[in-house]
Amino acid sequence: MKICAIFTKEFRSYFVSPTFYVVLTTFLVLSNYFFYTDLIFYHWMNIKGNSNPIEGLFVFYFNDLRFTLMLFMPLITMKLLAEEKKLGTFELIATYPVRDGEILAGKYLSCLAVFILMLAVTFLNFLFLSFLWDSFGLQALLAGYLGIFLLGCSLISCGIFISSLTENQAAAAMGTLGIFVLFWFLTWNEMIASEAFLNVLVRFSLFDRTEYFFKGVIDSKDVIFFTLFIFFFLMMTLLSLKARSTWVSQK
Amino acid sequence: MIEVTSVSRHFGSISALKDVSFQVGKGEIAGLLGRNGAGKTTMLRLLACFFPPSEGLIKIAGLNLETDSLAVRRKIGCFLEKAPVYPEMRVVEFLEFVAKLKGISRAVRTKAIAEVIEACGLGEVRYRIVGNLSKGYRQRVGLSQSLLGNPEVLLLDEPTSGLDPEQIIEIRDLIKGLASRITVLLSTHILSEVSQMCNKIIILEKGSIVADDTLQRLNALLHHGAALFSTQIESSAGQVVERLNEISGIIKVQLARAVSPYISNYLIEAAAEVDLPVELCALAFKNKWILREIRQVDMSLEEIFVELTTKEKLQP
Repeated sequence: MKICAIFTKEFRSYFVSPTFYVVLTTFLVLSNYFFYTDLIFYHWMNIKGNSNPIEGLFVFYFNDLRFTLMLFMPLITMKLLAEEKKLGTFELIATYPVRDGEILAGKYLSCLAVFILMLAVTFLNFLFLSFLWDSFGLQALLAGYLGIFLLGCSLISCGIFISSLTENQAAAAMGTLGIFVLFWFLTWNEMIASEAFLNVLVRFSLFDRTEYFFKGVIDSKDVIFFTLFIFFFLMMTLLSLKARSTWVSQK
Repeated sequence: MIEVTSVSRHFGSISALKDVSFQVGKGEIAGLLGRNGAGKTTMLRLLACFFPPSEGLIKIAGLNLETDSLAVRRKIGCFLEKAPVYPEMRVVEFLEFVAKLKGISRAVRTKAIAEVIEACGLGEVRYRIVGNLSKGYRQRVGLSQSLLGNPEVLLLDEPTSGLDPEQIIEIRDLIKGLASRITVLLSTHILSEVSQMCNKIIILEKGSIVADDTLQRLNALLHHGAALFSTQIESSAGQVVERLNEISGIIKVQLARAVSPYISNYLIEAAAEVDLPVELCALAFKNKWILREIRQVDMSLEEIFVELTTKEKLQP
């Protein structure tokens, strides 16, 4: 009930914010542009005789979508707690009989709902190509979307944590983007790290964990990794909420 | 209703509150006073379960604040300084959201919201967006959320700041009306508000309590048990000061002002046990004076506040 109230309030708040419409529009324009260029490339590959949609379309498109999410997710998560801190409203809702976990769950789920909405719109592209599904392999497509979904859930959990550390939304967005970029480039250290160390880093590389999903393979290790990643950052956010003395509005 | 026992709150090396103890009973309106940084807001945040005390025990309605935080929060209503609200929501939407978070059942929610809208005079703006309201109305919205759910304890931090005089009177009347059935702790800088509304005054200075009593008893304590009277006496014989000094228990007599050659005002400080009006009437009868006025002079709250926050701690 209380989670539902917070979820509804947060979900609605996205749709009264002009910033959100700008972010949503730009995301859709970019993701559709990538889909279009990847589709043209796939068509060209088809002409050349290589018509495997997984290698020729899904991997390319999901890689592009993954990159787009890295850029746009900070803009979706930045306001979740930083805005409450700035307005002093967290202090207000903390005086109501609501658990920190309920506040966090409501906010996390609202952001997740927005993310699912964004993903659903990108899925429309594949619906237009539904006559090709037989040759596509729908399961491979869904596995790719599962990878993107788990990645998105992880990015949101990380973003909400960073948002809990500051009252400045721009700082929250930049901090989150910085961490995402770090995860993106985590395994690009061949010159400074040994092979053994790189093997360790690969295990923690958030974005590399999606590779198998994009090829239509669901590996339980990857699913567990994403689950632990999400759990870790949600726990960190809860700890941040409990450090109440930092939640006093400076306004 | 509110029991604070030996409470301290530290932020790193800074002690915001040091060994604070006080009680506020049901039906009382207690004024929490103090200079900036005295610890008033920290005290209110502790009572609102925003963070726990570093040491000590707080009970509200018999419930321990640390172990029964959720239950305590069901019994309190808080108005925070600057009245934080969600600017993108409409007034009714905001109150519905708060009602849901307070766990007010669907069956009574609409009625409860209508009542606080009526009580806080928000009828005209109930469908307006909060961010577009004037400061006074936003203040009322903040107050209305604190009243939702019929709280047993109301914690108010500067509830009338930013309101126009008419609104201030309305809000004060509203709080006084509520106080017959609930407990109110009012933190404010407006001392006249405290003297008009509160039957108990708690003064904090540098994180410690320097006074916790009624205005009348604080007066007496500050006069070290003595009472101050102002009187106007008409006498043709003179030697009034000398005669007044003859009354047993008189500490000091001072000629305040000569109104005419025969009429003068006097300030008389007498021991608390002296029934000065009776003694003075008897003396006036004996000396054939005309006693034109006699009244007890109390210190204003401003004077008490300055006295207590600039001098050493008052020991009752």
